[in-house]
Amino acid sequence: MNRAIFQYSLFSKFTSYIDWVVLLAIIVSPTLMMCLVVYNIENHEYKVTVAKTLFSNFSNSWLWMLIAYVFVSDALVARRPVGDAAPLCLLFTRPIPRINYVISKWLAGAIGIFAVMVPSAYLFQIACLPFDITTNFMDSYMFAELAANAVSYSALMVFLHCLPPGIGALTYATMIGITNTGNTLASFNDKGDNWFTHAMHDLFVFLSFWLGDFTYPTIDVYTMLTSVTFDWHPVVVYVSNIILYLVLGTLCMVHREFFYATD
Amino acid sequence: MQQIKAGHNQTTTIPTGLVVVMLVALTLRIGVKTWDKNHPPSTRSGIAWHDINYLDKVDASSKKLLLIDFSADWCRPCKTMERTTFLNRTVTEMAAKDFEAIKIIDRRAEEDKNPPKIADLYTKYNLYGFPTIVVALPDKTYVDKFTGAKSPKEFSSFLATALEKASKVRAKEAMCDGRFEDALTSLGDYNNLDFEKLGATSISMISWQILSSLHKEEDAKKVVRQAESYVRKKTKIKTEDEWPLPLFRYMLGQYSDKELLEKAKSKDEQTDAHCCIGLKKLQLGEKPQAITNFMTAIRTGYAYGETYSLAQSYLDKLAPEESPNQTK
Repeated sequence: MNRAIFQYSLFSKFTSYIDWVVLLAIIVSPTLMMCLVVYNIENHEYKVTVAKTLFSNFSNSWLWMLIAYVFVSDALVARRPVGDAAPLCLLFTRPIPRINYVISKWLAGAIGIFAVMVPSAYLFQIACLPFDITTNFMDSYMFAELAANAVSYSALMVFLHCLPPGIGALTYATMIGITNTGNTLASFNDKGDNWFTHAMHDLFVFLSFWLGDFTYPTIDVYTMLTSVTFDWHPVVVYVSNIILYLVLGTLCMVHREFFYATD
Repeated sequence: MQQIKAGHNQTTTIPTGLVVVMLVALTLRIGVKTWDKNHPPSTRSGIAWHDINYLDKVDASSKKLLLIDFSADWCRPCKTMERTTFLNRTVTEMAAKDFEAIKIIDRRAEEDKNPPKIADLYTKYNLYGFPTIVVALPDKTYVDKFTGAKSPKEFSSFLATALEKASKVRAKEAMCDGRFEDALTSLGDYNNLDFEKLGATSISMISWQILSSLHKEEDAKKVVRQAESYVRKKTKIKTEDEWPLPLFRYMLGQYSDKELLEKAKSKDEQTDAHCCIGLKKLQLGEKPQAITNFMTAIRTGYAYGETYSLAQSYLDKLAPEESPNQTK
């Protein structure tokens, strides 16, 4: 790991008050949304249900992808979409192994997301009290899940960040499209009435089965640790996701350095 | 490190170690996914599911409730629940202790129709999607249900609520049969009713009816006051006319039939009011008027309401020929 890149990604780059305002706004946003929704509900039982539903997706929210991007990329501090300029300039001017760059960004991202997730979750918990919602959202399982998901979100974002500008977003959009289409089609038994719709159905279900869990790199710690039989499947998928993201990210950096002139 | 040539007379290095790590991770992943595909979670130890034929073997007087999972082979959320919720330790322990678990697999997609036994259950429990989990008394009387995937925490909470509701349903059934002592036993500790799980309006009406019929008028009023206090605490009551406060006033003897009906504005409120007046008429021994009120309650309300169901249960016993006999 390279300490300079790690420190820069995690906190040194946030020099303007605007950066901190953005981070603070993201920390507050789940709580604010909960308060706005719950405030207008009169039935207490329904209030509790809504708060639980909102928190049920807390650890695997899209919001944390954005946070991961804030730490991994320099887009926020540069006030513009940053493609390859920053990482490649850095790598050309310093003798840093590519894997070190990737690992430093990954760790900084993971710690950064976790540092934002935890206060945000506790703020949500505290904000429930005035509404007489006493459910304990932040148990040890949730704490572990936040940490685990921070690690995997950061790895995914490092991988996408290492791809050439525009290709990262396009890659992820394609992954989401394939996964969601496959999941949706798999929920319908009706494959249509001609060979083409049959083939498309089977193709997307196949792709979704083999590539789908590459798209959403989260793990359900509570389910895993409270199961009567330990399920290795999610653990292997989770760990291999992180390895694949980081290795592919490193290989991309090596490849892009080589093809820099044409990038 | 492996040197490769990549055109333009340039070379670069591919970290061999990283490639090996990636290949190992990929191989492991493919292996686990293939194994998982051939050993679906439903085959692992968890809830001990029986097939539909087990329904005929369940003793109707059993203390255990029926936990019926309506599922389909093509249903993704059903598979998710098999992998997560139905393997959860708390859920499996609760299921083993208090429930007889029955899994029913829909065959309409594969065979165009279901066997009649399954089709009857669909009608009885008003099924519209998968997965649907129904909790019923051993005699198949409906207690509670939900449709869609639930997390282990949500599912164990659902089971706990269903257990509470089952005592309410048992109390209601016994009450409608005129077995008030049995109804009181099923109701349990009526001084500590869980209004949040049982619904303050319906459980206070049932308790009020049972206790009043057993000449425990003071206890009946106490339960109604507790329900009123719960409603005041949990909802923003703006005026004293706000529903269900007039119902509580009526049960405490502070409103007449006419006053109660005047306060009931919406269809649901009118159903509540007619049902409550019907119960009062029964306490007074005025059976024909009670039947009229229960019929009005059913004609006015919607079939999903708790008081609709209460009025219907009474009609089934008092005037079966008049009851729409729609089992919820």
